[in-house]
Amino acid sequence: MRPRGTFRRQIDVKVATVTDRLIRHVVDEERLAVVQAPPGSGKTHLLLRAAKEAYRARQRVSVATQTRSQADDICRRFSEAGVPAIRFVAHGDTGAEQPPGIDAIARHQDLPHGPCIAVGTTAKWGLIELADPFDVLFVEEAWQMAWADFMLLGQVAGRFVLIGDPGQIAPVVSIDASRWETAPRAPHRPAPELVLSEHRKSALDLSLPATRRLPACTAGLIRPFYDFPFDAWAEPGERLLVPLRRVAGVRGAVIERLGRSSVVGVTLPTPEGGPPLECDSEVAATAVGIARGILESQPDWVMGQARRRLRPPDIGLCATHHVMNAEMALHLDRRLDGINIDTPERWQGLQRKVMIIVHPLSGVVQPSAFDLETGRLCVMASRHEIALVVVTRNHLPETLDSHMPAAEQAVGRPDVSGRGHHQNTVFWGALVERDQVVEARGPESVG
Amino acid sequence: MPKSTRDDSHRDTRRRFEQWARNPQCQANVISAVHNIPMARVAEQETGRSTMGQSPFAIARGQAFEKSLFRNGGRLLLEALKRSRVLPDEAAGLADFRMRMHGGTCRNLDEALAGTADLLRRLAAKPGRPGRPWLVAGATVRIPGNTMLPEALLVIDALGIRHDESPPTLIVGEIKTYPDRGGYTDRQELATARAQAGVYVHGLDLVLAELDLTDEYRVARQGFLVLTRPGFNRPSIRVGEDLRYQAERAKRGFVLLERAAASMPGPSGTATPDSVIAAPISYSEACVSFCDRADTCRAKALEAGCGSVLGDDVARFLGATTLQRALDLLAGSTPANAAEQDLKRRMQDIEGLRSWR
Amino acid sequence: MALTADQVVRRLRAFEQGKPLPSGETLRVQRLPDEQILILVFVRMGGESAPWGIAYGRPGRKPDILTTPEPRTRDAVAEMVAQLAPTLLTHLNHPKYSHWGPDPDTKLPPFQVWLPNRSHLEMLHHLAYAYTFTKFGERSRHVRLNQLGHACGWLFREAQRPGQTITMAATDVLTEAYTFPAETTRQGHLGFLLAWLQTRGSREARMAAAAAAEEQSIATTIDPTEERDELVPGLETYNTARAAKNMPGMEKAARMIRRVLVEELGRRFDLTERAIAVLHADKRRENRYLDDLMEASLDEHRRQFRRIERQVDDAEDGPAFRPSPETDRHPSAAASRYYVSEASEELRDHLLVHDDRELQAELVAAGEAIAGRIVEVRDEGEGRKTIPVWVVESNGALPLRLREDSALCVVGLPGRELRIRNIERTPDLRYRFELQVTKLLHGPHDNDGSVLPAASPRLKRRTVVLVKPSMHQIGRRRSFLVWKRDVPGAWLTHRVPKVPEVDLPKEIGEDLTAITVRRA
Repeated sequence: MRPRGTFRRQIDVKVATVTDRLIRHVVDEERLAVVQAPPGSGKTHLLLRAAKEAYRARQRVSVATQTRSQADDICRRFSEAGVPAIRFVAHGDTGAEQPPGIDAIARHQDLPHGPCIAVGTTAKWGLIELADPFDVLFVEEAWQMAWADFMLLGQVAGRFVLIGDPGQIAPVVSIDASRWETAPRAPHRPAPELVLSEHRKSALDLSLPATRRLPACTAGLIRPFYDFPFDAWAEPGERLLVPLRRVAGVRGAVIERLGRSSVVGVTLPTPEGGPPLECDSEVAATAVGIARGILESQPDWVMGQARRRLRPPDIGLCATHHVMNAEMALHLDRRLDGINIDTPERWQGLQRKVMIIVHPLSGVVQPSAFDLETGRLCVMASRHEIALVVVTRNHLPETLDSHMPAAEQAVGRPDVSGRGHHQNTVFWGALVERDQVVEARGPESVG
Repeated sequence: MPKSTRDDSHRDTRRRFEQWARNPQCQANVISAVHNIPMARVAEQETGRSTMGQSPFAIARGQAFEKSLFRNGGRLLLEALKRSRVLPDEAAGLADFRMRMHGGTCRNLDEALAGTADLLRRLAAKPGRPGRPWLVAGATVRIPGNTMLPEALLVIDALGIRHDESPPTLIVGEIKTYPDRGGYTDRQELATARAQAGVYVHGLDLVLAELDLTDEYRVARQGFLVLTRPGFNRPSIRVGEDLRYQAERAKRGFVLLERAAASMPGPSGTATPDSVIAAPISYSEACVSFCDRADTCRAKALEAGCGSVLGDDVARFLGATTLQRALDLLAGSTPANAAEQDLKRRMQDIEGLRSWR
Repeated sequence: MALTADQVVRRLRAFEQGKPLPSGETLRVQRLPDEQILILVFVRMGGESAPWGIAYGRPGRKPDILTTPEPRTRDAVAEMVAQLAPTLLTHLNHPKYSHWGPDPDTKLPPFQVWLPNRSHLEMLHHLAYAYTFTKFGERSRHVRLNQLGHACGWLFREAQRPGQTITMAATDVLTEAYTFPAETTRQGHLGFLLAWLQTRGSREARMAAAAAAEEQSIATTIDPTEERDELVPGLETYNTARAAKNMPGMEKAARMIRRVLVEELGRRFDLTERAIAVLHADKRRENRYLDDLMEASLDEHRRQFRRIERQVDDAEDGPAFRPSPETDRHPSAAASRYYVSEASEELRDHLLVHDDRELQAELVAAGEAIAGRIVEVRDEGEGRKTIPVWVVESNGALPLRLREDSALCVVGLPGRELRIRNIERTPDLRYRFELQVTKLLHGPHDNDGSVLPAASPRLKRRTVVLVKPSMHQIGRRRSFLVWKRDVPGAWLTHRVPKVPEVDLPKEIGEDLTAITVRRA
């Protein structure tokens, strides 16, 4: 048991060091920084602080995000911090309402020539021909940006800060990219990977030391998804659901185990005739039943000093298949109004106190390479602040044990299938080892 | 690449392991792999012919290619490995444990086995010894402890030794004659090569432990492939091949294979082609590319209504539901369970769209 | 590539009916006249990458056949391949061989190169490796071989571009046009596919015919038994005679080898002809947007083959340099071609769908499109300004990958674009979309009255299919922009990096310095 408080202070010191180093690097007009961040570690906060300091140092600052909602979110946060910024929008979006202190500009010719902060998507920045480049470009969620898209940002600025979470879902590649698998600058690979392959020594290479969002147990569980070490800011056992009422059966067992650790697995028997592949009504009903059970126990959520009653909007549900999400939605009633259900792609960047997820391999008895990719599992397992429940058919461990993943990647590339298989095995194995798996007989046992 | 004399070739476990790993669900395949009964023999007995013959030219080409790599003390391969930075510039010297018939020095696999172990011991005992080899051809190791399996012998095509690292690093290499076409290089062939190399890594781990040399060497988790270059008579080296998980796969695979072997009646070597023929099968699309009995098994799978006769994707889509049952569901039958309910919904959604148009 | 649910169900239906079923309402391949088609067929020795024999010609005519007795002799193979060059280069309108002259801006008629299956495509890649940069042998021959290497390299690269219409692997064409009740792995065999298509009778009869056809190799390799029984003795005789400088013996053995190779090549050529004939006999009409795809292919041919062969730089498409057969080491070249590939996929996927209801159904099934009914039309504009808004309802049981803010267009009227403002579920579990029409509010300029204005109340109760509009112009624009390297971040984004992947032997590596200098 680590000394309470000391460890957190160490993390705070490390975060402060990373922040100071990045700010100094940017203010001193150094050329390249790459920051790797575990989920919920304050990477956007870091970006905002460094961008603000660069602006204060009278630099022209640009920020590239991967989605419009990320750009809007950053502008909102600048506005809240009282930092004026420009939302560099698509033509036709100039009429959209902006928060105080944020101006919307669509034409690059209209961007200010003096110090400013301009926030736009990578797509927007990449399609213009900027006559007056910025001093520095910050890239948010940089691991979701393909190298080719990054190349188009070369005209935005001469200095770069790439910040992102390497464990999230990689850029989608819909075309056959075989020709570029052995290229020194493969256009479809995440940009920071390639930058680090050559510039690791010369760049400022930082990583945020801890996840603030996730409980301590979860941090340990998802660490195998990452190539760099990190901890949890939360102390073990300090984030809790404190139920007021007892509930019986499987739901009670889930809540009881959530008192010991932040992650619980729930298995349902695999039917004789095989599990439903896509839309598994029993699994959907079980997931919703667990949400209902948790709410019926009228728990308070506790995070450090904060304590509040858990409400439906504090809970999220997630499955990889749309139909499965639709099926879960069918089981919701008015008492569960406010629970959000979506795919992992849509959950990226969001968080809830409690997440209940359907394991991506539930029902998949012959996993393909795509099934074994862990980007989606990593996203699903890193959205909660207090508790995570993973629901699956009980064939999962056997499926993983008997599956022999083939390393069919191109020459010189990492064995993604093998790694995915390994990570999945470690993830579930850790739950079993910690006695955190509850066996349900069926959805009726969950209520 | 033939490794040895005709008899010795059956002792090389690697092929049987890979045969098993391609379809571990198939009992017939398990018996064939465990008891070393080649499927070609089974198919010949069953149908009078086998289908997976190898091109005589390709065999000769493989032998010639390998000989060229190791000729003159492995000069060609050593130079290529140095250019690719697998080995440092100072690297020199070849230890050759290939069979005599392939240009090597060993009379049989036992000699290669003893020679390899002796070399590993000697190098560990005198690390700085002048004249130490940086490249080993045909290093042979035995996976110990598999009481149920007839023998687990592995012949490693090429093994690099980085004496300049501490402890010295063993780097596994696999030689293949197919062309290196960059990102277009045949992915299945690559998967096979990596699986084999993963088995070597696992085998080396075990052998070093058995020889009590675990601390004296490091077995690299990245290996190299030696391929041919289309249109040129030079090897193409691919470095940094990720073998971490393939070594894990091999480790787990041997445990599963051992478990499968243990569940079989009779000691090793007692099974016959008839035992394979009598065993339950599990046909999958992969069988087409490696098993001589694929046609026979497909016919049986068709009779049983297995979705795999229409391919792995169809089998995955149907789960445990048979083809006929799926068609019945499409025709309006009532689902008997949740899996059928889900299947019917998925199919009806699609069909509904087609009728909508 | 895994099958979609739609493809799985079609395969089940094909199995039920015991025969291949047409895929798609329209044909997605252009049927050109025979004189615009060149069939190209190879065989090679097991374990080798060079050809042993080549057959080529027009459909319906006897092919020209080239063979060499000993394909392990580099010079002999080079001599044989050089003989193919004039025909292939003329067909591909190489500037030095084209009947239409060297001007890259000349508008050329469509053309195709047909091959039996993908292994023959691989042979094009092998030839590109062997001859793109070779300096082996006498100069006029190696210049010709270089030209052939470039042509093969371009054909191979073009074959990977989505929606291309020039390099046709017959098995790919047939499996796109029909759904076969068999494993995907087996569908790479042209004889197998044709037996399924052309055998009459029951499922069992077709299946048996396909299995029998499958026993004869149609790949570039020859059946090992045939190699062992027929070719090994012939080759041994040939090499013995050669060692003894026994010319008559060599010629006799060479004839023996050629006889076998001619038969092998002829079978592959015939099958390819039959595949073309099957398509010509298909009663479906061609998709009306195929012309656009062919236009795009010819544009690629002009920019990436004819222009480069003439060594003319292009302000948009980059400098003229011979690409490596392996990859694009120059970052701009790699990104530019990547974007072109993305744009091509976008064009194909969002063009053909407007003329094929099965493709529309596939997109709806995947949640990428909406098929529904307009239940409300209103105009939110004030004064003379029109802001048409539609409310569309559709089947709520289907998956949906579209979100608020997604852009869509109307099938059959691609210029009319809409933006999803809101998505709701109705109490009866249907999707309810509120969409604002953003383009083509009034109809096209040449409107004959068949296209109603977007705010017309008469649109109410009409069924519509809404798909994503093609953004291929954006991909194309990116492919041009990425060549611009006089930018402040070029030191990171556009410089050729110093990483091991840059090391390629010069016989397969493009001239990086030349690219950089030409751009400068």
